[in-house]
Amino acid sequence: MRQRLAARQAPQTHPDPDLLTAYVEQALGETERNQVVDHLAACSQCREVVSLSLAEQPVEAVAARPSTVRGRFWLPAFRWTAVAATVAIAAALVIEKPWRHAGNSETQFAQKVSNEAPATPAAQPAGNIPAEKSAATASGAPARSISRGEAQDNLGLAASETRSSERTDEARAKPSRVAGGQAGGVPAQTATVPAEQPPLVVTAMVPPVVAQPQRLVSPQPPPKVSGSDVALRNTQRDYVNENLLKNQAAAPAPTQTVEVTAEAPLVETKSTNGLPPAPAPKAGADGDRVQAQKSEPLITAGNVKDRAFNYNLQAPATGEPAASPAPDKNTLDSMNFAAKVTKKVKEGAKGAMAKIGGAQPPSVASGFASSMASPDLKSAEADQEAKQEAAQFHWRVTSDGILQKSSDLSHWHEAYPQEGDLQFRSFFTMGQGHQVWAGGNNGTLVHSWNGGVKWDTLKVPEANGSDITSISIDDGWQIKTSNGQTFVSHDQGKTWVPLKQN
Amino acid sequence: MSVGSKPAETLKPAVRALFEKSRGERYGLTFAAFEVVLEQVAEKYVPGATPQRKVEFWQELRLEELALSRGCVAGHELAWQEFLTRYREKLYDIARGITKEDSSGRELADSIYADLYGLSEREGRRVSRLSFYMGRGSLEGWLRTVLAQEFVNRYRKTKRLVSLEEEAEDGVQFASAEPFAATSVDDRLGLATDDALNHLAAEDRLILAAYYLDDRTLTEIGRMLGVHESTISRRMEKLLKGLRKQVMTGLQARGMNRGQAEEALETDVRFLTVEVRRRLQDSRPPAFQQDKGSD
Repeated sequence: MRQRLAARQAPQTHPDPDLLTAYVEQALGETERNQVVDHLAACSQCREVVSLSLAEQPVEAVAARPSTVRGRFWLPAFRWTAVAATVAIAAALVIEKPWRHAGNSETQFAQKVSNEAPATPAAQPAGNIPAEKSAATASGAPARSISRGEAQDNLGLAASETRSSERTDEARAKPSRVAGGQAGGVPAQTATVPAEQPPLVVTAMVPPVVAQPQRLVSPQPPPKVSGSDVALRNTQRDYVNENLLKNQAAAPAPTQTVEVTAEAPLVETKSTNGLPPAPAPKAGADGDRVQAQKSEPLITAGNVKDRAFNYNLQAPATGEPAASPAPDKNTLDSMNFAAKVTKKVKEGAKGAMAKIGGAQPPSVASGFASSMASPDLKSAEADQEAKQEAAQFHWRVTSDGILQKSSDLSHWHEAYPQEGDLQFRSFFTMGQGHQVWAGGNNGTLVHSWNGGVKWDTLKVPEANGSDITSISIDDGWQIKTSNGQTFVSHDQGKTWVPLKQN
Repeated sequence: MSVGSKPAETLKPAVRALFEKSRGERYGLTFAAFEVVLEQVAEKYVPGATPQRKVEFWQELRLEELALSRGCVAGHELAWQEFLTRYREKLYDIARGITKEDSSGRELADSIYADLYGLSEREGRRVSRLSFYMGRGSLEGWLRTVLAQEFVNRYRKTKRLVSLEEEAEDGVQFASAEPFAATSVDDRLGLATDDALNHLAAEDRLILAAYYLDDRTLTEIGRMLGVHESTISRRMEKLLKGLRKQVMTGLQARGMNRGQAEEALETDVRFLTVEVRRRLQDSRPPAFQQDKGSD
């Protein structure tokens, strides 16, 4: 075959650079394109020129096969912004829970969390920030009054945190597991926690930390509760839990019950996760918190992610004013999912928020989300995705049903591999082209959330046999088919119901 | 290039709108000159088109870049400033990308500048290569193609395809051709293969030529056709199966039985090895471009 191909006579005339350029940029009509292709099939020099003149394209992960139908269909971004924020609150609660102490350590933690967006982890010196000041500055919430007991605790914390900070580096290097170790503040967990993990500081910064997510989630502050930190935190926890459970539809609800403990020993004993069950919190048990504080190292940017993602919440002990359900064994997965959600919401929130109109400014949620999703979360793949985030993508469907994308409107490339007789008919984009839904024949519906790098396939069985000719958002997701039907979904594309019957 | 006529009066309003869109005035282009340019482009690519079709065609052009290029051709200073601002570094980057080397890339880009400025003369008048830009694709893409052509022409010796003609001019000595193998391929195989190839779509032939003759990867072929590499992979597989079937049918139609046809298809590899090289070396591409002033 090589012989016969090579023996074919080369053409005598060649297309000019204008035509070749227009061909490369797919700006030719069908007739002209066929002529150029016909010439290229016979002319090795022009093939060489075309090959050389093809612009360097950004490296894109090839979506060789779309993922199986998972029925995942992104909600409008404003909902996900709220979800991300509430999930971030859960993360904050996870961090706060075992290390809840009044005093300097909490303050420092809040300071670190708020400073961690660019997140070069830098352990702050222990005890430098007075709790009362940092409570106000870190979260913006009014500084709560610190009881005499807490003030005394703070004084004592300085020494304990100094000792704890020495273990911080060690803690960072450890696998992501919540500390066991010394007594104080570590609640019973269902996650696996190595005993070698240095104890964590239960900080008094918890309320500010919690307050910060609250600010991001909703303009409504959490219900004020006077009294002990325990009661306050429990209420805050319940508020967070309530919102989280309400908003987080796709993922298994992470357990939100914050175990307010003070005396739980940090060494692993007999709990399901190796940690002893935390004793029930006592109102005004400042002394307990102090004791816990002494034994736990500071939470730093270097270890906050590990702490959060491997910390598992557990149902409070009897007597706690807890309103949340018992913790789910999938909390760890939930937290990981939360990070992914946070990241993906950040990706889609910017443009989508402007279009759909969310309750929260995207920068706030995304900024907080990014501060929680610290650099530790970024893998090589995430770095690549981050680069893609900056790009804006343009989409089109050609007359022969190929879904194409371009970053510069000059060079178009097939974005979804044509399989079998698949042909696209419609598409809908948002988030600067990073979020795209494309509808095709036989009720095929595909979705990408990262500019075409990865795809989900969503079948619409009710539309099987017809083409999806239109996709829109209007009181839920709506698709129109070639046989005149309109389907709407209110559950992220899992199920579709006919909107109109022709 | 012949001077084009102006568009019909009925098209003036549409042309005026296109002129404003092109910002031609900024680049020193008059409306009358712009009309002439548009008519030239239409005559070249859509000769005999209706006025409506012409307007549609003009609307698809890169008008602003076309105006910029013509402003440069006219020697307008602001046009050249704009051109250099936009494309000077890009030219070097493109050239480096093509040559994969900094020094030769710079040399390649510098050689193009002379043509772009119009330092070359044809028939006693200065001709700028930018006058050949017609706005079908982007100006950057056009520059990229021009550079690629220049590279292929200039550095053909170092490329996969070797021009015996140029090497002979350089005094390179060639050994005599290797004799064919005693058992040559049945002519019917070649004819059946030709028939099968002739029935292929142009894109399929392009895929095969790029893959078998140019040794391009599936990714590169995909980019040439603007499709995903997995699409190319599936097409190749389907193509080869179909091709084999067609050749088998052709051989049987030429008097071979199935066994003979299959044996012929397992054709003398040694012959192919020799023949392919000979065929490749024998290919003498004709003169390259019309717009290099050979018209």
